[in-house]
Amino acid sequence: MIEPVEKDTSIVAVITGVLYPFIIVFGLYVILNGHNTPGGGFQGGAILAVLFIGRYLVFHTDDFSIHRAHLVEKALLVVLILVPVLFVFGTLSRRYPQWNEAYLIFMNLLIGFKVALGLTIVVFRYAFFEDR
Amino acid sequence: MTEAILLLLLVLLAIIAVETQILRMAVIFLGIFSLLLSFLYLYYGAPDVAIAEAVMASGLVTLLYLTALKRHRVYTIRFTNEMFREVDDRYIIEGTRRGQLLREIEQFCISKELEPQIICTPEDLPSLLEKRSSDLIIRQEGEQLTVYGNQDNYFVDELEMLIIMRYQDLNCKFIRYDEELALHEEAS
Repeated sequence: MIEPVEKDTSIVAVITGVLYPFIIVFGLYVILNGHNTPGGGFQGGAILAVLFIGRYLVFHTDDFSIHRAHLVEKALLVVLILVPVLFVFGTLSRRYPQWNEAYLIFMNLLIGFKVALGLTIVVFRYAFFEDR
Repeated sequence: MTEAILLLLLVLLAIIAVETQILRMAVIFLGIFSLLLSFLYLYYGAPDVAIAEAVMASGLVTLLYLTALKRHRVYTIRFTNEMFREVDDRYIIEGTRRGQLLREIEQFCISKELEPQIICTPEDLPSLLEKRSSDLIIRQEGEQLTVYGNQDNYFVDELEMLIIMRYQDLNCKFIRYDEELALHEEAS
């Protein structure tokens, strides 16, 4: 159990805990419906990034491994480049036109996770840089 | 009509955010500005942009600014007393000349774009010096007023000049301390 830094942050802690599932559901909703309603990978990813940032607001701990997040983000970038190359520039998209929607959703998911990890890394790097 | 009101509010908020003296309030006004702007995008039929604006500009950027302010710009002033367990806000307010000193330091901080944070602490001086979390410690022993300035802070020279020039009639001494807790005493 990690203690909050200041004793009077329990309101923020409780409200963040209550909002957590809603943030996850809303972020995934925005990502999954991004191909035909407003939203998409970037916006949904930014909402998902609030998960980790809210955690930082409550507990100022840096036990979150930035290095590992960086590795996962780079792997996602490779997949993000490989999938369109295989699907669009290969002949798959013409051979199976019914897969197009699944392809869009999958790409949005990839972009969403990449943006979420990227923004989390940015904020954590910034917050723990030159920590006194 | 709605559009005109929103646009006027945007301009008004932008001007307030620029003109505000306290940086933290400027950041909050900027957040409200972004929220209104995202509503305006929605009004103009660009929900996609509106979501991005609301999440990024109003949420993350405000958070980043606030974190930056917290990291580097808060100037912590601790006020301690001879009878340090009984220190009270009234000590500052009642002693008018001393209150003026604190107000002047506050004004100085605002002119340097620092966020002054004055704390009346019940701790005694050695433990305060040990912690090194405060930029300025003001200690009052009867009529004697001692100001301890953290040498790591860039503004220590200017503040020392200000205090020594202005408050010669007050029994006031300025002492610096550095990393090794060595006190550099100078003439009052």
